[in-house]
Amino acid sequence: MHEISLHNVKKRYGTITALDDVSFDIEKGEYVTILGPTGSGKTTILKLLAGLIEPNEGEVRFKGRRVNELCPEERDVGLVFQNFMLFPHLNVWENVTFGPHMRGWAREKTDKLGRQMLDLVHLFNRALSYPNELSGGMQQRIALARTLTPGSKIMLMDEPLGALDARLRVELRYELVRLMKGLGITTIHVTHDQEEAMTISDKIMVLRRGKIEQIGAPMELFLRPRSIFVANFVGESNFIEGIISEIKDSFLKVELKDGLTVVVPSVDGAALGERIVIALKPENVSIQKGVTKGINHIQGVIERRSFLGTFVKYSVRLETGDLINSKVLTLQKDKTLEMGDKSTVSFRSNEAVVYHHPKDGVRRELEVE
Amino acid sequence: MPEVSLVGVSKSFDSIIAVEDFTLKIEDGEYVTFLGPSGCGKTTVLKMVAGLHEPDRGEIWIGKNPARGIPPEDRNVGYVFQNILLFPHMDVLGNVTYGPRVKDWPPQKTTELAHEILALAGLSARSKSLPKELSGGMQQKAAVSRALISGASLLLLDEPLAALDAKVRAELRNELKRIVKELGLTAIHVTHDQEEALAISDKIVVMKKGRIVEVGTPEEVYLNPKNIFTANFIGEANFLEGKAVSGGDKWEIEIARGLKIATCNEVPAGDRLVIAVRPEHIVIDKGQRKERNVFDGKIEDVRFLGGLVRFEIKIENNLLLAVKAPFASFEKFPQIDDQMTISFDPSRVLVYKYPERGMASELALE
Repeated sequence: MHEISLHNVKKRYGTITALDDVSFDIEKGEYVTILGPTGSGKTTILKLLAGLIEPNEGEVRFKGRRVNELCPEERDVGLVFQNFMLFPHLNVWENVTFGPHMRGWAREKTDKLGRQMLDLVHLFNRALSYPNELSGGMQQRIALARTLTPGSKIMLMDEPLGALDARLRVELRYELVRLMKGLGITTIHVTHDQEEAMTISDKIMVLRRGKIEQIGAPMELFLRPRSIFVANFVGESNFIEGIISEIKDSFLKVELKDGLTVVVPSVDGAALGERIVIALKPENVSIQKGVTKGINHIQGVIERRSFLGTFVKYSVRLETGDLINSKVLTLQKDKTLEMGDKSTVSFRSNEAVVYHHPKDGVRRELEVE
Repeated sequence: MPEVSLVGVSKSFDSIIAVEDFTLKIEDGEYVTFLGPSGCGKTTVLKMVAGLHEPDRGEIWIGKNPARGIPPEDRNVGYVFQNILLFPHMDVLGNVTYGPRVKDWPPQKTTELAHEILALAGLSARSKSLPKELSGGMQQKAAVSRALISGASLLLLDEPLAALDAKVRAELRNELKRIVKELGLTAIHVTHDQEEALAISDKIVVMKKGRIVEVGTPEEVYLNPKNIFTANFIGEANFLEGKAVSGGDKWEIEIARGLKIATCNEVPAGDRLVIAVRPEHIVIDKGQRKERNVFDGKIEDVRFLGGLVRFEIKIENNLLLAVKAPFASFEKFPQIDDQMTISFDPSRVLVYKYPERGMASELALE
C-alpha cells in the first residue's frame, strides 16, 4: 500500500491551471523533494496533501484511502514553512508543546515528547528562550521540533531552508534528513534548489508548468534525464544541435554546424537527416590546451574562466559557434588555462544524452520562469 | 574615478556593534564581494558607503573625496536591493528613466541613454513591458539599469540575487559581472552565498561579527585561507586537531598516538595546531601507493552529488573524513562498508594555530 498518492489530480485557480493531471506514489519512510521553478505547482501539491485546498479533479490518497474531503486537522500531517512562524510571546518550550497542549494530551506524555524533540534538534538548553533571542537556524529547528511533537508520521515542508544563509542551509539539510529518517517519517520537501534536492532525496519529483517532468532517484535524473528541461535543471547541461548523418548500432554520427561530426548514443525513433539536441554535463567535458585530434574533439577558444572552489569552470567558444562549459576539478590543474587560450574540448560518447529537437526550440524548453 | 577606501570605520546601533574597525581599499574598476553570515555587518558597510548611515568613527573616501556629510544622492552611486523595487504601473523604460526625469534631464538624451543601458542589460525588446510581465531575473536587470542611468560609477548591490530561484541566480550573476566590467564600474556586492562570491569576484572580503576576517582573490580564500573560519565558511573542510612533532626538514602533526599527518608548512614542534583538508583534495588510492598521508578506511556514508560523490570514510582512531571524488572515476558505485584507501598530498594540508577560544566558537556562523 502506498503511503501517499496523487491520482490524476487537476487543480485550477480561476483560469490558471496550477496542476495538470498529476499522479505519483510515495512510499512509507521516503524522503521526497519536489523541485521546480517558481510557479511550477510545487506548493499546490503540498497544500493538496495538507488539506488546505481540494483538487478540482482526481484523488488524494493516504494509505490507499481517499482523503479529498478530510480537513487538515484530520489528516495528521506536520507542516513546516519557509517563515518559521513561531509564537513570539511564547518561549521555546511553550512553542514546542503547543500542539499536544491544544489537543489536551496528558502532561506527562507532552513533557516527554517535547523533551525528546528538543533533544533531537540539540536545543533543549534553550527551552526558556524566546524566539527573538535565537538565531535564524535555531528558530527553524524549533519550528521543526514543534511540528514533530504531535507525532505525525507525514511531514510536509515548503522551502524549509529557504530563509537561511547558504552555509547554514547546507548544514541543516543533512540534519533534516537524519532526523526524519531516524523517526521513520515520510517527508515531502519543496525546494527550487537542485543541489539541495540532489543531496538529500530518496526521490526527486521535477515539476514544470503544473506537470511532472520526471520522478526518480537523484542519480537517475542526473544520468538519464528524460527531457531537455530536466537535463538543464538537475545539474546543468551544455546543449549542442546537429543533424544525424549516420545510424550505426546504438550510436549516431551527428553533423554539427560547420561540418564537424561527433559520435553519440542513439535515441528511440532516430531518423537519418533528423535534427537532434545533444546534452552534455560540464563535468563530462574535458579540456586541453592547444589542438588535439580524435573522436568527439572540438577546437575552440576560452572565453571565460571562473574559479568555483572545487571546480574551475571554463566557457569555450567552439568553432561551431556554440558555447560549451567544462568543469575541471581544481585538484587536477597541472597546466592552467587562461582566457583567450586556444584549446580542445572532448567528451566520451556514452556520457552524452540525445533528444529529438523540440518543436518550439531549445531555448523555450530551458525557460525556468 | 571611484576607488573606495574605508579607514577604521565603526558603527553601532544602540548598544549593538554592527561594524568595528573596518579598513579596506577597493581599487577603481574592481568587483568586490562582502561575504559573511547574517548579521556580520556587510549590509551596514554598504549603507555607509551609500550614505544611508554615517560611521560613528573612521572615514570613508570615494575617489579623492571624504564622503562624510555628502548626502546619498550626491555620492554618484547606484544602489540595488534584494527586493526588486520597480514602480508597478510604469513600463521598463519609464522605470529606468525615472531618476533623470525627476532631475529634469533633457528627454532625448535620457531616452538615448536608457536604450543604451537596456541594450547592455539585454532588455531592449522588453522596454515597453510592465514589471509584472517580466520574470524575476529580468526585473532585477531593469532595477540595475535604473541604478546605472544617472551615470553612477560605483554600483552597490545588496544581495541582488537572493530573491531569485537558484537557477536564475546562477545565470544572472555572470550577467551582472559582465555589465559592471563593460561599463568600467567599481562594484561592491553583498552576499551570503559563497559560490556566488567565488564565481564573480575580483576580491572577496570575508566578514564575521562586524569585522574583516580576511581579504583575497577567490583562489586565495579557497585554496589558502588564512583563517579557520574562512576555510569552513567557504567550501567544506575536514578539521583535525593535533600537535606538531617536526624533526629536521620534515613537518608532521600528530593527530592521535601514532597517527601523523605530513604537511609542507613549517610547524614548530610542540605547538597545538588545527589542520584542514578539503574533501576533494583527498584522493582515492587505486594501487599507486603514495608514501605519505595514506590511510585505509571504511565507507560510512556515500552521497551522490551529481558530478561528484561525497564519502564519509572512517580511518584509524575512528576518525571520520569527508572525501569528494568525480563520479566518472568509478566503474562501480561504491557502497557503505566498502574498504577504501585514501591519501592526500602534504601540500594540501592547511595548518592553523589552535584558536584561543576553541574550535566551536571559531567555526560558529551565528
